[in-house]
Amino acid sequence: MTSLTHMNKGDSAVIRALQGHQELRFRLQEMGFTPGAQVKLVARAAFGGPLAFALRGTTVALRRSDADCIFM
Amino acid sequence: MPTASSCDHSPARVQTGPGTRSIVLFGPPNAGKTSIYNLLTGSRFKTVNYPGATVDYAVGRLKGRSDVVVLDTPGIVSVVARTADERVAIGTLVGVSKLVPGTSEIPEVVLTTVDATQPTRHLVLVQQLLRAGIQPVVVLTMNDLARARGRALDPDRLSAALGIPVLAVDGRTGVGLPALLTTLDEQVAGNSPPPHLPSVVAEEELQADFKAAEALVESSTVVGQKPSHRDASDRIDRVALHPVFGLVVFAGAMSLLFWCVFAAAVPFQDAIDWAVTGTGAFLSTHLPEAWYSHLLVDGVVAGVGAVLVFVPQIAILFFLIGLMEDSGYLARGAVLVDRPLSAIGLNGRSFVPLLSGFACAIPAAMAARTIPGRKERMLTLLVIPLTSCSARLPVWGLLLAFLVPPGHAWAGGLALTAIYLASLAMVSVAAFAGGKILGLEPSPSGFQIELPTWRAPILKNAVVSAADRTVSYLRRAGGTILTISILFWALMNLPSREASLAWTAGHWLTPFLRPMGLDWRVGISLLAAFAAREVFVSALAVVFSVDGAKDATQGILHAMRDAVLPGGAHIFTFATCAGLVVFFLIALQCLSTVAVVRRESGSVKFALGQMASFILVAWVLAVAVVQGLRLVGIS
Repeated sequence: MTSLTHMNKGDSAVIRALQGHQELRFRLQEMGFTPGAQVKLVARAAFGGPLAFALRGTTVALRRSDADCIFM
Repeated sequence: MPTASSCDHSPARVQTGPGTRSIVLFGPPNAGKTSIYNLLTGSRFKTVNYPGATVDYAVGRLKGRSDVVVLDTPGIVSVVARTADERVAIGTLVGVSKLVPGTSEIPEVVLTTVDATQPTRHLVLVQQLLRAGIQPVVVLTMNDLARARGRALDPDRLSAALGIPVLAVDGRTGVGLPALLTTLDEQVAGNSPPPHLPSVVAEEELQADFKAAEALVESSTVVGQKPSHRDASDRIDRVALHPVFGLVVFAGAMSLLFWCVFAAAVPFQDAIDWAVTGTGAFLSTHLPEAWYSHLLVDGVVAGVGAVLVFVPQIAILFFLIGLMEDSGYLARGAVLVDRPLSAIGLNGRSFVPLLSGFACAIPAAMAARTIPGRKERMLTLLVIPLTSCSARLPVWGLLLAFLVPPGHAWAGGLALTAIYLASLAMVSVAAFAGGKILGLEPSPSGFQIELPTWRAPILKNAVVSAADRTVSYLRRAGGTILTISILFWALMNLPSREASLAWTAGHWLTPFLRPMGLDWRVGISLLAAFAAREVFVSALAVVFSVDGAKDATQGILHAMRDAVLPGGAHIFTFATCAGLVVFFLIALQCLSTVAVVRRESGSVKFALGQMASFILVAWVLAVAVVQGLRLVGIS
């Protein structure tokens, strides 16, 4: 399993699992990053900044270390 | 908003009697809640709204019902609060009576919004509400947009599946509002049982809610011709968040913002200056030679006029932040600065509070409520007073006249840019040092932010909200400045100059002022600035008895140029003014900021420690600058 940080711009993927601190994991799932959800990488900010994903009809940006907790 | 006393940080006051019924608007951010609130109450805009986020609740009366109030609450993604603004929202579900007198504890109706373009996430919240024993009325927003994207929702099917009223309302046109008002009329007559809100939601439960929401959406969607997407918005994001173009656009937007604040305001400032000068001249020629004429011309007109000149800059700053908020760019800005801000212990979510800080620290401190991690939130609260708020603008304007050779507008602009960059440098140093000194635990909350669909900002909304914020600034700051100008004139002149209270108090400060190259007159002006920083300018105008008949700013400048210390040396020199700039950059001399930081941090120690340390550091650095400059031969 690889994390969402390995996606290329424009790629789509289906979330399979989440890891990391319980509080963070929960927060991410509240935002809609639950197992089974489909995501598409829209943009990557400069200098290893946040990644923006299209998900469930909206766009959500996550810090790289947060995206690293989500696996596809 | 900008000054302490001028910032409206209490919700709108709606007079209510006993037996008042309440409707709480509760729902996710970016779901059109505010437009529904405006439709229900007939407000032009929210009575309480701060740049970037609704961090407090707004109260309005339901159209046509004097006995029903509507509360708007901060956006929320779950019934379990994680941030301070989420706690405000959830608090309204069980304690309306604490916020609006005369209502019962439990709101009669909970109204929740579901954005039809992203229904799954929002229906999860509806299910959590149902499980907590709350039967909300659901308003389906943006269904027209969803239809255009080929995936409209059928409110009747959703209503049948959920067992609660679901009504589609177009937030912009008001289509569907009459049906909603009828439903609310019926629902608000009943009573709601107290909800049992969970303290935690299990991960499995949340995942099951999402599965159920997906099924609900599937069974209620009316599939149209086009596939579902928001490509146009994503295309803009590809540029706005691009590693190279994104930064170029961001730098350009920020430069344009500050350029507009300074350059575009000039003609308006000139006009105000002209009006103030005219008023002063008119009064001094037509009033008899008496003490009250002096009070009016030297105290009121000169004092208030010196500050009024900066209102255009403040209005433009509010207007531009409003435009960025409305278009969706503020959220993108937060994404772009998350990386650099995380390096100094802050968070992308600190962006909106810091940007607001350039207008006023009060709404900025409140906007910090949206930051989930305690460490990031406390550090943001710590550094907000270091952002160069608009109340400092009059001070910069005055001091720069001594630092920059006359007749070089570009040099003034450059110096002002340097001051703002210095302010950002102070923010970075303080955040970094504060993180070390306060020893706050890093929180695992990371950084997540929803990027609302891009939309063309509605110019009228930005104009109206900037106008309202400016008027509210004038009403409150104006009152403070007027009062202090008069009080100050009295303290300075009664019973006589040498016997006045200000003279005595100012002399106590001499040991602190002498190293800065200043005397007691500047000292009492510094003291007066604790009410609001711009009062420094009007206080100087009163202290140095500026004749209001002269040009509002030129008058002060002449008087200040002529001012000398007992030994005969000039007070306002390059060195002392540079020292004053440093002092004003750092010193926390705004009592309302201290009060709000105390409330937002929940710690008296934090707020007082912040004030004391900022003033001490400001004084030490100011003395160092003055003495250092003198050492190298610059007086």
